[in-house]
Amino acid sequence: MGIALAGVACSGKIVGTLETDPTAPPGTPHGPSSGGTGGGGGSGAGSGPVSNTAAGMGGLSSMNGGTGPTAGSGPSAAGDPAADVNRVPIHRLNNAEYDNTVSDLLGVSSKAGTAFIDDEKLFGFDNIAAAFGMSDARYEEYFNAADALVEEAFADDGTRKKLLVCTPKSDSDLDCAEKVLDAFMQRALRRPATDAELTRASKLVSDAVELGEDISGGIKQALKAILSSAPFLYRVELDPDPSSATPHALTAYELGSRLSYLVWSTMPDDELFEHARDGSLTSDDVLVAELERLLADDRAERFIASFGGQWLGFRALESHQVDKGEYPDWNDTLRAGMVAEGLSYFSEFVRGDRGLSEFFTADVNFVNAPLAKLYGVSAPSGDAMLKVTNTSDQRRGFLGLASFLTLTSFSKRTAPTLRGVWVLENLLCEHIEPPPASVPELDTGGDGEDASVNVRDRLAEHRKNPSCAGCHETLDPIGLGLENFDAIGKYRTTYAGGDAVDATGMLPSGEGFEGLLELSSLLAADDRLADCAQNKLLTYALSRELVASDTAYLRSIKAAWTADGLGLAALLEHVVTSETFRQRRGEP
Amino acid sequence: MKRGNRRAFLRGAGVALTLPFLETLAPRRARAQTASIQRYVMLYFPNGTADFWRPSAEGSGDEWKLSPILEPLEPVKSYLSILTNVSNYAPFGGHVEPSHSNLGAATWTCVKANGDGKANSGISVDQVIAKRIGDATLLPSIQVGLSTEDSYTDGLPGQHSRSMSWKSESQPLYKTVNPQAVFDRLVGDAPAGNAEDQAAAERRRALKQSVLDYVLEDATALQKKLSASDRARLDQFLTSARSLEKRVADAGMQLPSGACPTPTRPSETYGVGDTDDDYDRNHHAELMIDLVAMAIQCDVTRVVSFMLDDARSDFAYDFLTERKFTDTGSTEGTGKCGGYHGLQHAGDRNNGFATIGWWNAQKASQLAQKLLAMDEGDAGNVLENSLIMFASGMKGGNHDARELPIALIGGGGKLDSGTILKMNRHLAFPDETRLADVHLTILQKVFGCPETSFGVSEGILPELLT
Repeated sequence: MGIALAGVACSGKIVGTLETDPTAPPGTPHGPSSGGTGGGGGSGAGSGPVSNTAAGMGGLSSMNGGTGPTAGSGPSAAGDPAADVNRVPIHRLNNAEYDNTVSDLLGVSSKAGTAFIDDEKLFGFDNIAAAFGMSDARYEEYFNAADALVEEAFADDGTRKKLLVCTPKSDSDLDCAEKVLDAFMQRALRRPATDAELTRASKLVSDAVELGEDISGGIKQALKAILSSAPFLYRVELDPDPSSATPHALTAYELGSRLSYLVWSTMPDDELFEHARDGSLTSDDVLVAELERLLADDRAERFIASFGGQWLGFRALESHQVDKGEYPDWNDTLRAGMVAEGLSYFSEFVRGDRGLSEFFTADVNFVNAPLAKLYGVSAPSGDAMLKVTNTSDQRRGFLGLASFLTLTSFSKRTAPTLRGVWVLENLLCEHIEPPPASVPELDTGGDGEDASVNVRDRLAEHRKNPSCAGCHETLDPIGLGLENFDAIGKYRTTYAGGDAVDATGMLPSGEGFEGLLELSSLLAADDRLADCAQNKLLTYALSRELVASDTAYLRSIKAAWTADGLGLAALLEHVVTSETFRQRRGEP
Repeated sequence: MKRGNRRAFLRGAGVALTLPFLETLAPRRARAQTASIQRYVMLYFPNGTADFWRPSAEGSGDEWKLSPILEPLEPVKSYLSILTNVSNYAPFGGHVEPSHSNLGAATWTCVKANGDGKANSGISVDQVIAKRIGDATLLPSIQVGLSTEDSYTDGLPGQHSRSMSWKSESQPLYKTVNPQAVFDRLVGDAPAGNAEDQAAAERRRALKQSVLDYVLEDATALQKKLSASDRARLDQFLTSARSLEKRVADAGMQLPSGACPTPTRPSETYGVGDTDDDYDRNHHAELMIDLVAMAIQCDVTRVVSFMLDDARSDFAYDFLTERKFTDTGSTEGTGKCGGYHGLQHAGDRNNGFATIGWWNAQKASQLAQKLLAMDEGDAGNVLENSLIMFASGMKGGNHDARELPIALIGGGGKLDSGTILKMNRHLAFPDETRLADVHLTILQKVFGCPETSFGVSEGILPELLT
């Protein structure tokens, strides 16, 4: 049922995301995230070769019913590369994870990490272990923050008392200090400290006391050191034999960290630690129950914002430019409403009970006051987002979200090609090559191009050039079907210049449609969305690039997930219980 | 000497950052034996420039005039050289249009990002120079910038968009945009006040030392349990912790001396995606220029990498009032500038695009003027003994990597007796002169680096020399 893209006469180059092209992160080649105009020559037009990711992935797009490995079994389906649980490098916390973790550890409220050197993103996410290095400047940020955060925690009676699990009787009460450190290190290292580690930390206390600190100063000294140390700053998973390729199960503590950083972007809480301590977390039942518990908790909003916000572009909208002259309604409150709506919409599919099959068609929106005005519905009374259905303007599903429609537009006008490319790349996981250098630009989208332009006519002109037509016949239809929505997602039937909007189109498969509702119905039947969702989620969950040897796991997860009705909570469950999430190996 | 400088600067009487600095410290050691140019600043702007950059006439002295965009550099014109017709197509295999995101790094490495999803580039110019002269200062180099937005990466690894300093082909040195963090790095945590009890300071230093001893011992123990590639990752951590340890130990052993002024610690803590509602990019820029000037005056470092914005930035420069440009100059206009990248593609003569270029030149001029105002005794002023390379990796709206906007600002330098670079001129090279050769010439002839090649270089450029 997919929109057949394979064989588009563009470059002939088939790029398989999984096998050969680890760079293919989401985001258009010359993206729309910052209004402006077409980036590279012709990028405004987005003309470029298309390759069918699915082809490169060995047919992952149509693997319903495929058989793959189940936990504990190695063999892969015929034709798939051998399954490999692979490994995740030592994994430095990203800035958000750092802030969340020190907040949980110390009870402090300040967010040092927000002003740290920015995190690197790779494959569309900011939690990819391989992308993270260390530099002198970054380490000094951690070192200085450790000092400030421990002082902050000890300046407050409440937080200090929580850290001091016993009260030192004197400056020589090292037994008590050691109890404090033992309790702290279990949480900071996300596993019990070894005797050697505890001894090393305790010595910091006595050394500090010798230098003239009191016992409290000595304990602070040790906490600062622990927060400056590698086992805190990095999530470390150890291999019994670092040079062996034989898979082994993660420890229950390591698994607990994978789970809590996946769902909460922070360290495990007491209950999760308890299940790690008694080892029960490694059982299917407890693991699934813990996932459900974490998902039900408010902190799961971090998963919505981090995974959903990055995958679906809501985070990128934060730095998107809209021309206020062209769109006087645009302001930061409207932008915030769009972001909040996008996250709420995604949450319906994770924390609500909607299946992914409704992703393009769900009749639900969330509005604040300016967004309600944009949509033509009644505004909520307060600041909270209001859930609404049946908006009057033929708006429905993900493609009707103002956040998507805005992000994929230029600052002054819509860009159908960008909308199409964004959907193909991010929702259907097609890899689209940037336009060849020889292709002329459609237009600039800048000063000379405003909202009055009949973009369909401009694109039609562009397609008269044979070197453009091949690609644009594939790239444009989705966006042309959305022309009833302007560059901030407001419904329209005419362009500002007076031309009537024509929102008809034909997909490469030959299926014709008119407007968002018909287009969305066609896309709802495209099973590449589910494949794409699980690729994205597994990448995020494992914090690493997917490679050919993950194909078998994807296939097996997809089979089980399909049987469960294709809800994202179910997908999370199948990812978390998969062999590749629960095991790792060394590096021969 | 260097340590004395730094400590001295910690102790002054709380002079506000924006006030002029006092005179710099005594002449530095070893100057007589080496090239007199001792400092290198790479000052980058993305997206190229509007048409009003290229000076109309070639030549030197009075023969050439500043272009409309370069007009803010008038106060330092005698220290300025404009290089035109320089190209950086070679790393990309000929006239293949490089994407924006290649160019943050490639402008300073002259190596194509290979796009395999990993950090992969080449060593950058500043880091080659830091290898040569970095040991003379507390910090071998610093990396700063102004982008408070998530940089757009055209699908490439983001390092190439947001990091132009590369310590090796696999280690980008990310810049710091947070003024307070830059200050803390330059100053350490010594208080600005001068009443500090010496014993207390010594104790704090010992406590820090003890923390770092723990950190290093702990990481070394962990190292033994890791696989080969993870050991390499942890090596970066160990290297950074050791650098800090060395610094803590060094600083504590020095007595304050000299006349390095004490600025106030900035209260601004900007981060990417984390700015106040009243965030003002011009204020951010001026804070950072002050910090860079301070780093140089106090001799904390002699190598600076400064990104005025990230590759393909579409940051809205709406703090800027558009100027009206003609071929002979510009005057204040009306209306605000918009998104940088959008304006880049709105025509090469559009006023918004030109105005952002003009503002960039103004920032370059402000930094240069601060160095000009610093006296170095017999050696003249600090600007004379510095080289600022102010450049973009893209020509303008067409994405060309040829006819790049490049300005050198500083002294001509004196290697033993002779001048190295001729300043106060517009030097038009033959078409397609390689940027890598410009870098190589500077590395070899100005900084005395032993490198015989750089990126895709073919050889040194005699025209650049006198």
